[in-house]
Amino acid sequence: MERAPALDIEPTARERANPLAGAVRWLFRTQEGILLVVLIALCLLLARLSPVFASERNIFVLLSQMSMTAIVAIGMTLLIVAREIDLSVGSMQAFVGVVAMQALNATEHLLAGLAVALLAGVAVGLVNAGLTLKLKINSFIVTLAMFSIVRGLAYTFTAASVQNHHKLESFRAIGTGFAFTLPGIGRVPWPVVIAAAIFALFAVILNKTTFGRAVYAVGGNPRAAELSGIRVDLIKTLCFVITSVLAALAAFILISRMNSGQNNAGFGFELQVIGAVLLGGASLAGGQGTLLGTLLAVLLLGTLNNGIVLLGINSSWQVAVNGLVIVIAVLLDARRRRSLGQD
Amino acid sequence: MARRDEAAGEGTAVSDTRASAPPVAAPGRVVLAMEGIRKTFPGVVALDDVDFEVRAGEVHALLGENGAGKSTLIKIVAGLYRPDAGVIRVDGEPVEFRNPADSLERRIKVVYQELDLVPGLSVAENVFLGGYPRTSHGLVDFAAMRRRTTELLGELGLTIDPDRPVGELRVAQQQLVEIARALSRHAQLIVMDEPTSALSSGEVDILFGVIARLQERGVAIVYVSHKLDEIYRIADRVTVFRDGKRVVTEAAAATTPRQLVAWMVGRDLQDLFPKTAPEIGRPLLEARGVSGSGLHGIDLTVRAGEVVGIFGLMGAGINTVGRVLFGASERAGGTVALDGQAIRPNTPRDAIAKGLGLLTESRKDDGLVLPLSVRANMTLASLSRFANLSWIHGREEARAAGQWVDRLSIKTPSLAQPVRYLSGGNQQKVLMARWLLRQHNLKVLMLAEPTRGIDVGSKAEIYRLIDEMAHGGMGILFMSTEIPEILGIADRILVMREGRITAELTRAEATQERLVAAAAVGRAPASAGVAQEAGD
Amino acid sequence: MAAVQGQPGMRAPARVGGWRRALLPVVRHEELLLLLLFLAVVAFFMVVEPSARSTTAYLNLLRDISPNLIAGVGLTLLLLSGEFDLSIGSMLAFSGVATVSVFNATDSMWLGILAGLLTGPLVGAVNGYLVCVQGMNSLMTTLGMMFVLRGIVYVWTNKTPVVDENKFTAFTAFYQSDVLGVPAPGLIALALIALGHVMLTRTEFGRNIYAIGGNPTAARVSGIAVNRNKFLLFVLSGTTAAIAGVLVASQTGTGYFDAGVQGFELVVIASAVLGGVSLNGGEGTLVGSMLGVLTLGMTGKGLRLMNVHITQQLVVTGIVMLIAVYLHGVRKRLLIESRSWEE
Repeated sequence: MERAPALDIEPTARERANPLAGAVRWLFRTQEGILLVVLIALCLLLARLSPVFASERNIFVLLSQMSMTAIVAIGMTLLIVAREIDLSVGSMQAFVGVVAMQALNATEHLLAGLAVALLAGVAVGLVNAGLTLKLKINSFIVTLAMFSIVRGLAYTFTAASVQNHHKLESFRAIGTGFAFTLPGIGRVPWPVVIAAAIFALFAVILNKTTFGRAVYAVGGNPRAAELSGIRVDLIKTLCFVITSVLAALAAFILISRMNSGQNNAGFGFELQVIGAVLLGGASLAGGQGTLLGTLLAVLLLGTLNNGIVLLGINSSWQVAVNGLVIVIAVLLDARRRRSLGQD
Repeated sequence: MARRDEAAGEGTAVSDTRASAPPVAAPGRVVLAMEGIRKTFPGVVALDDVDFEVRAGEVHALLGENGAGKSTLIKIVAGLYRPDAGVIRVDGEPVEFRNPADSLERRIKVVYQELDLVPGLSVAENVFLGGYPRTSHGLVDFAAMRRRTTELLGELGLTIDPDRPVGELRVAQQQLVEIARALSRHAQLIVMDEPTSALSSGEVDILFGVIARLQERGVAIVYVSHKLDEIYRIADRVTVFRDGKRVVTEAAAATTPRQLVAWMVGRDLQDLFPKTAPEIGRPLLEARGVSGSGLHGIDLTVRAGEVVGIFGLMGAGINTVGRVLFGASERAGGTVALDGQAIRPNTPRDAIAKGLGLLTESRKDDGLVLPLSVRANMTLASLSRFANLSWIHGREEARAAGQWVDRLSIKTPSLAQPVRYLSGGNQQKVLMARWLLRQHNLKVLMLAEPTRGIDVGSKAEIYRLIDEMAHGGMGILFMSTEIPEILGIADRILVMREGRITAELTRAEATQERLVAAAAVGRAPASAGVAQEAGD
Repeated sequence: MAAVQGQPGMRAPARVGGWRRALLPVVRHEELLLLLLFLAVVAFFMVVEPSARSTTAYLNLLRDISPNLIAGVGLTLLLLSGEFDLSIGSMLAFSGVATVSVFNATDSMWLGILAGLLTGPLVGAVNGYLVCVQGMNSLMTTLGMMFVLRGIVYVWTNKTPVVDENKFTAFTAFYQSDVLGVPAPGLIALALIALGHVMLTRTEFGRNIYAIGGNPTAARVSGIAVNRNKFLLFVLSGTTAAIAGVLVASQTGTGYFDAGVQGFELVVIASAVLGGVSLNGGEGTLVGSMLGVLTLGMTGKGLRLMNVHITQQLVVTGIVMLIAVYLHGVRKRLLIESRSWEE
């Protein structure tokens, strides 16, 4: 399998002969492996400390909550791998939320609301890409400005939150309903199914298609990619649009869960998402990062927060612990780089 | 920091100035002596038991092919590398250079090819970077700094506003600012690494004037250059390196250019260049009146099965030819056609689609995607071959990449290894493989200095591949600053100088002397005698 | 100098357009350009809004904007060296809460202020240690610290504002007071800007910041202690943020747990960038950066005077930022062209 490039050194001949040694090495030497080990350890610990943790209800509530972060983080991974960034995804939660909810109320039709949400995503993505690529302004700055503008548009659109007036059953199901029942496990919520499907789709795209390869090449060395015949601006534009559309989709799930579109939704969401992507092993220098790493990082942060709640710890610790996990991850990464003699 | 007082120097108004400039070593005295220096890198012996000395007031030229060990030696002198073995003496005292500051402390200054200037800071600030003069309040004494800078630049025969940002100066001026910086630290030894590669001939004259003045003051100069005519103009002694060893140290006047080249190359060129008789076919690549990016009126034709070499000194613009034809650098005028189809300017995609390939001269800047695997780097330009509707058939891709890893004997633990961890030679082979994998869609391949910085074995391999591709009917445009390889593999050689083609020689006509003469003075002489001619 | 070979247009055809030459002083002196931009914004509001014509409006602007100016001083110096500090928004809350909590614990105003101010160098030193000694990426590290500090504040205050039980009127009166007609917090800001400006332009430490940000290799081979200097800059950035935090607390004598939570760090970075500071380091001036803070501040203030809803100001602010950054790009291109005019 062509693993996306990580910092690990390749297995030695002996390790290749002994798959177990290779697996152990993967677990302890790669970002994904370490995250998996920590996640499993955390789950075992929480299961011991709290009887509620391993319950079907808690697990699926936990996963539902994380699904929105996961969906946006998938797009953000593509974008960061392509050496760009999007700080406007938090503001998108508010903007798309109120606009889509308004559309739902006006049309009483689920697909109309969804279409409006996704179109808003495409529009913002194209603006981000256009300003970054055509005017050649750093995407950090462009999307920082869009972070203000999009949030402001949400407020301009409505001074208060937009309630769900028509109580469309199919709409509410997206956030709170169940897709199907897994025998022996339980009823799987729609948000989890949607997130899983998107993860699978983009995992395939990133690893198995020429587009995915181009994303890595464009982020790793844009000049080299261009001189190899890759349309750098096109690839980056697609990444911007994908990120915004996924942010819009997450916003749609969010309004369904809250049953209202709120113009103050998503404060600080962009930094949570970016934090998770980087914790998952992506590098702001581009060309590095995997969706598996991102997913594990999202799960780890979500489980930590869940654990804090279950153990009756002051929920204010959640924020601090999230930050600490990011600092520790970056510290480990810095040490690993140094031991490999980079920089 | 201890040097600050001295740097502020000589009778300026700096309040805490104690001393005037320390005396420079008496002429003839050994300033720097290196004994038994050895330096290895994983898999390579860069310097093997090397002795080297420099005397006060001399210009000591350092010669050698790329990879011969010159730059390693310079970096040791600069304190950037620490030798594995050997002794360094400055003024007779054994010293240990742990970092650049230690070397500067011993009044040694290296002027690098990549200039170590801060573009946003002023000329004066760059000259005194790392040791600014201060007023009694502890603030930077800009007045003194400006005055001293004007003085120092004056000594170099230069009038530049010391307040101008260095980034606004031309490269030649920047170079002289670097030298002024060395003077501000009262360097007794200045190492110049190919200082003339980006200078016009007038600017070279100015630089040589400066060198002569430094010599009179007893400053020792180590002068690294490929250009034999320059060496005969200014060098007192010459040391030649080859494969990490010192071959000879000799008074420059006692050598001939032919001798120097023989010492530098030192091996039988026939073994390296498996040149076979070419079968030359129809014209493939045709450029007419191409200009832009510093090129002027470039006309050239590459035919099927032909290897066309472009030779020139550094700065002549040889690599730019490939970049402009390919669309990687701006083409302002002229036409380029491949097999009769016009190629759009400034669009590498179009050039690739029509069957042109370019191996760029800088591996890391625009060749390799460092974090990506060997396999992904290899197939970057030919991925569509292994994909259906953009779905990559991983197994086919791996098989194709694997074949080239074997054929080029690329040393890598696996195809999934990030290319960052490969050695320079192996990285270069990966880039070769990128275009080899596109072979069937490729009509002409342009290679810019494909053997730069790689070992002899890999070089031979690359020459063999070029010959093989030409035999397969491909046209090859081979750009190089190294004479032996140009002579060894090209069927026809174009010589460039200052962005223009100045001579065209067939394989039979081409000689070392003619190439150098055409590159240095712009025309090919009928007979030998380069050094004298260029030197007058 | 192989790089030189490929550079296009080293000698661009020197056709000197009259209007372009007329622009040269503006192009050369970035501060002039920024001052013009600021005055344009002021003029705009003076025309459309009568209440923007009084001197008081501008004195109040200086008072309101003083935390941004003060925190901007330290952050600008850090940005010039090529590093980031995203933790200054949380610092605002941290130092404010520390100040008022110590008021209540010790009944001493001076101890409280001292404690509040000391949080700055403390957190700055932690950031500096992680980045300079451990070699961690500063964007990520301070992103983590942003969450860690915010979380600590949440836990500490239980998400309730910390009210000064002693009612130190001197503390609150200071914020509202004027000295010679100028708001006191504004004076502190001006003093710090003057100090910072002198340091940046007249001391070796200041000049070395440009070398470190502009060409780290050159700085190192010239014997400059790059990491030590950067460490000091992190401490400085933390310190100015703490001063700003104490000032924010003194507005009402309350330590707010959510001070700066709405993207204070992003606004200050945006202001610096608007003021011509390059995110890559080595380019920009403190005066320019401060003009950036004023321009963004004036935009907000003017809109407020016009009774534009606070939230819609975001849209305008974002657009002003994009225009300013675009103008910087244009200015740079003109500067490059101007070189060919002279030769």
